[in-house]
Amino acid sequence: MHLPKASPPLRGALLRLLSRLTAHAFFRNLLLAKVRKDARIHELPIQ
Amino acid sequence: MSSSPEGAQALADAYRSGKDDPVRALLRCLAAIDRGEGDRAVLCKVPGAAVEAEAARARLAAGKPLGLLDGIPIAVKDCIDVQGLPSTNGTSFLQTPAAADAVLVQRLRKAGAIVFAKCAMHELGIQPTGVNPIQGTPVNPWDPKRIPGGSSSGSAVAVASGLAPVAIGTDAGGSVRVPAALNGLVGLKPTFGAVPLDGVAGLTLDLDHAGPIAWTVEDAARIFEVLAARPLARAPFTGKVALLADFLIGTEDALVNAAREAVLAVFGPVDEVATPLCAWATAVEFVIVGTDAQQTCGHLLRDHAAELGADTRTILNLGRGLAARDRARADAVRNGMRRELGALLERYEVLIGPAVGAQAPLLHKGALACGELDVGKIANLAAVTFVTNLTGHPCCVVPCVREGAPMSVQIIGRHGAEATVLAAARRIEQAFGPRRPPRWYG
Repeated sequence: MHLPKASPPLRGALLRLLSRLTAHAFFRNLLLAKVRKDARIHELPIQ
Repeated sequence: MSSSPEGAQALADAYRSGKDDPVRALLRCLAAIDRGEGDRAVLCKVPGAAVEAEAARARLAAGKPLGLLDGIPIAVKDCIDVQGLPSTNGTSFLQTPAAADAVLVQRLRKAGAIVFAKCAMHELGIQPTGVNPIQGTPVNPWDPKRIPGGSSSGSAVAVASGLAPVAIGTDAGGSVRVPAALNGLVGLKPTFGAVPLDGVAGLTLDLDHAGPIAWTVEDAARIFEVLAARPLARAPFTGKVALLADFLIGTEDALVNAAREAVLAVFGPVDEVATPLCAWATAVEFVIVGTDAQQTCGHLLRDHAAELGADTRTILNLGRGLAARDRARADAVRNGMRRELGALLERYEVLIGPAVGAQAPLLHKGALACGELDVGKIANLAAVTFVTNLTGHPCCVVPCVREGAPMSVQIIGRHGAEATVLAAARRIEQAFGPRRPPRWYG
């Protein structure tokens, strides 16, 4: 299975901070760019 | 079998022989819930269950049972409506009592089942870990230091630790099968659409399913027959089997070995087949859940952001940023996955792979207090379960080891072929049987 690239687990204050930051488009898109890359969403094989 | 857990079939047999009755069985379950209260599997007891148990006892004494489930206590996940009780869906703020029973609860009650408890779950069913800092995280009865699995965490723990003979969970990405596997139980995700979801809070538009978590394949079959309102044949399995090679890639060695050995022991040497499109299930599931959840749960993010857990809020926020092109890609691959599995299932009656990609991960103290978002953990656990949510095929997990921590295989069949899937699962069960965990309240 294609698994996303490993990244550190988010907990505690960092997770709470991210949950607030991702409410704003700028930070959301920043994190999403990393998630897209790690999960290889751009590489999904369209047939 | 190292012990004889008290499942639905065992109870029904005891009722029929006069050795037990629904009132005594319910009282045992309620007492077990009290003893196991600290393990947080059950959120609340359903009022009126005792009256229903008395009525079932009278029917059975008169030789007029309503059906196979008459007098059987059943617990349901807390996203399933039970009239007069809130369906919290794992949150702190959804507290409005349901106006009516979910259709599946109506069907259970019509068959005589006693819906007696509502079970804890991961908030909004959004992760397969079962870690819920708001309502509490159910304790894994095999190892309290490890996660229980989710999102139907309480349903699985309630059965595994002896609080309920069977329970109902829901599954949009593995939420019946992951906790069933981590707790050493049978879990059935039926064919998409086979079980009605009216009155069930969903996470997605078309990935959600409801199904049984049980001790035995026969219990899962009986519950499915009632939930889906259709009978299942009980013919022995004699069809062709293949092992899903891509499901072995990225899966822990111990689980791969257990799956290979179980298949070889039960079915003999089998073909290994590749599913290159299904291997993308994690990315596809993330995009579809993220975008669908804007429609199913967007109002909760808008109106109750501060009350949601930080993990749930982050996932919902990220979903807002997914673009239409992400969704179009995911939908295209999903269609390919359906064709891929469909073509294989024309050659083989069932496809088998490990039920999950990892054994129950350790529970971090920080996660208990304020939740956790660990993309690696989610994908490692559930990449292999996402597949049949995306394709809609029926899938059953069944334990496949005789000792040590629970390990299970998943069995996938053709659309509507639950009878075949369960027949193959029965073959595995005959070889390995259910095992009771060390933590037991029954």
